[in-house]
Amino acid sequence: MKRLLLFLLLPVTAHAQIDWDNYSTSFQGDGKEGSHPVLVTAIPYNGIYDGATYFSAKPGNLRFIDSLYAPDETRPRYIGESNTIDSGKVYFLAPGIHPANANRYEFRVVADGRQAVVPWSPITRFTDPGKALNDFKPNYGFLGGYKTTWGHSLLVDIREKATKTIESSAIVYWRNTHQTLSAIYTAQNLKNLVAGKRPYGGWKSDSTMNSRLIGLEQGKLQLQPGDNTLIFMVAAEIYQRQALEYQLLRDCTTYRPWQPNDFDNNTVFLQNLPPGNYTLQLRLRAQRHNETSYSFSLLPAWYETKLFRYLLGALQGAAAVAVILLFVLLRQRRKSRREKAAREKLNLELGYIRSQLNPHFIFNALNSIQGLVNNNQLEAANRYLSDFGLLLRDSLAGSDKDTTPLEQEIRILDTYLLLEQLRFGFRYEINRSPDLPAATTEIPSFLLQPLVENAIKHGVSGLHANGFVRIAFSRENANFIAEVTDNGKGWQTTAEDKGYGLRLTRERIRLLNQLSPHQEISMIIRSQPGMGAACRLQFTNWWT
Amino acid sequence: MSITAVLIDDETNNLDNLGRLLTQYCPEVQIIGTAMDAATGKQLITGLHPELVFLDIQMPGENGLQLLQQLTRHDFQLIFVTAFDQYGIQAVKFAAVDYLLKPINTLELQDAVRKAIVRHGEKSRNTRLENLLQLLQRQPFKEEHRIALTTLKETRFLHTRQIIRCESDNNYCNFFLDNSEKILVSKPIYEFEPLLKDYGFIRCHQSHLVNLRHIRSWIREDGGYLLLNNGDTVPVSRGKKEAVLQALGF
Repeated sequence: MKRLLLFLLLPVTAHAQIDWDNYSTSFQGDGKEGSHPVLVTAIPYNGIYDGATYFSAKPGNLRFIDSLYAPDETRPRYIGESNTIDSGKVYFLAPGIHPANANRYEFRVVADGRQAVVPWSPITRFTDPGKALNDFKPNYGFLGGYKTTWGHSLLVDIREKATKTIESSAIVYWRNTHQTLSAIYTAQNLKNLVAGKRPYGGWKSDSTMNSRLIGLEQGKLQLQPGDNTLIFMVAAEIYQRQALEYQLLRDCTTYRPWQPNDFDNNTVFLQNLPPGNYTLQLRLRAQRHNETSYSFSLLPAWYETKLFRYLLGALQGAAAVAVILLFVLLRQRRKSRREKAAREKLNLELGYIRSQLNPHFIFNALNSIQGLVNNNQLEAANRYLSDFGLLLRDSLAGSDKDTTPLEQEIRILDTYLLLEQLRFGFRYEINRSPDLPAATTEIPSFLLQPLVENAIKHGVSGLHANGFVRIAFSRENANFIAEVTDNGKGWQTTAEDKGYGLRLTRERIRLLNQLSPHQEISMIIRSQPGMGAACRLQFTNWWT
Repeated sequence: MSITAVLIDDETNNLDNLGRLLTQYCPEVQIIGTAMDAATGKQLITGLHPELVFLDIQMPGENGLQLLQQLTRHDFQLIFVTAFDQYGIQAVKFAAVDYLLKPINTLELQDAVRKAIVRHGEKSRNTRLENLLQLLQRQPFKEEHRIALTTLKETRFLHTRQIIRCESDNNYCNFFLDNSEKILVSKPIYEFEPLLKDYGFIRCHQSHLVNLRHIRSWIREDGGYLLLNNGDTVPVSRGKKEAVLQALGF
């Protein structure tokens, strides 16, 4: 009510700005200027051609409350009755009333027959001289624009003041409306659209679509997998896209929010929808509270089903695991192959080093025995010859074995020292601590021999009976210790390694450590000129 | 106490040398004949019935072992004399028959002669030699071979399947048998490894030699160890793990 009153306060010239093309006008009569004024209703289109509907009603259907009803008043035989689905104002015009005769007439506006929105009032405003309507004489009466709320009506009456005769009446109803569909097409029945088939009663009806529309109205429509492009035809004659709004829900969540239609017509076009349960909601912009919902479901293809997706997911997972496993396996295999190759190479190198060591002391020993024979020391020669046989046998056996029991190694070193003693006359001893499991301690074959040879050659060889070489084997927790000491000339350890044998031994230890990193062998040599030499080998974690 | 002996070797020098060594270091040995091939040697043994035979294994024609197999009686003590014969020595060691290596160590010579005299005094049959010959005759049938284990009291002849495992006890070695018996043998474990290697034994640890056929399972815990059929557990050293797993078919 307040809004209506507000409108009445608008300036008189307001109607000059009205775009009459947006209005559908109707009136009773033949549209020619007659003896009585005519009442014209102008209802806005706002994008919908058939937004307004007109009827002729008999005045007997009108109902008024007593205060608005004059029992003696006379009315025309028919009154114009119309419906509007637009929320905008409806304008009332009065051809036949002109500034010259306007003082003979008055008008009123009544809401729902019970409230005088505008009581009997004089007609003071007129249309522009340029506003033509049928054959009416221009510059006629303008009663203003009015509106009410949905489901209510406004009645406009014009009467002659003198006779109180109601010359013309028009009533407008503001109708709630729900948008309905007239057709639905998918790729499957698109050719029927092109072929001119139409839904329902048409002479070439599209039975596929009819059953679809029925299904849609019952919420039972199921579209086959892939039939996912839909054309919905709204029954209203829309010609502006903003007039129609739609929202699409998929599986109960908003898939496309409310938005104006995509085309300036009544076609709602949904393209390439993924499978799911859909609800299409339609409404007019003018009546946003009146929504119409259509539900349908788009079936998934076999490859879109949840089961398939789970299977695919599981399959992909399995494949990924398989690929990873394969990768790990291949890498493992490559790694072990590489390690094996490296090991073989190391063993070859070690074998080469050992083969270089053996001849070295073998020929020295032979030389010693030759000396005994030439000195006619037959008994000693006998003894050392058999010892040499032992040494040779052991060294031959040892050269194709990686390790020798400490027990045997000690015997070999003893034999070797005996032979060298013959040549140089030094003294020696071999000690082993009692807690040492000599029978079950395996050490790399002939690893110590070059160290002992060094102690003799660079140590005690010139000292005769004053020379002394000691070999000691002991145990420090998990480590096996072998020490070769001499009281000889000594040498500067910072200088390059003494002799070929020592260099080969270092190289051999390096290779052995590569083969068994968890059993590291370390060699420390302490010596100074004139102070003798001590060479200490530590075999880490030797009994594990 | 003296003992009669026959010397068989294909080289004169070797015969002369051994004869001289015996005269010098073992005067109790009375040399009653020498031979330079297997045929003559066989004649000597069957004709002269020596109490002790020094026999070279490697000879042209028939070798020492073949000679022995032709004899019907083995009532003499035998000492092999060999230079370097991997195959022969392995069998001889397996049967614990005495042997000397060239060049001869006089101490070992004296020791071998002493033992021969003692054994000769004990009984007339040489069971070790008989065992060796049986072994050589049935060479491919390893199941039948019996290893001679010398303890302080006696010599035991055992099928290798009877041995579950060997464990080092310093310079001795304990043999654990499938009848729960334990035998202490006076040789270090490393002597047995090459002998038993071909009979399905594996050195899984510096102190342990195990018969593969008696392994029940490989336990992964604690760096890995072996559970044997008699319930014993045997450690596996890190360095041997790979070889053990390979032998078990992993």
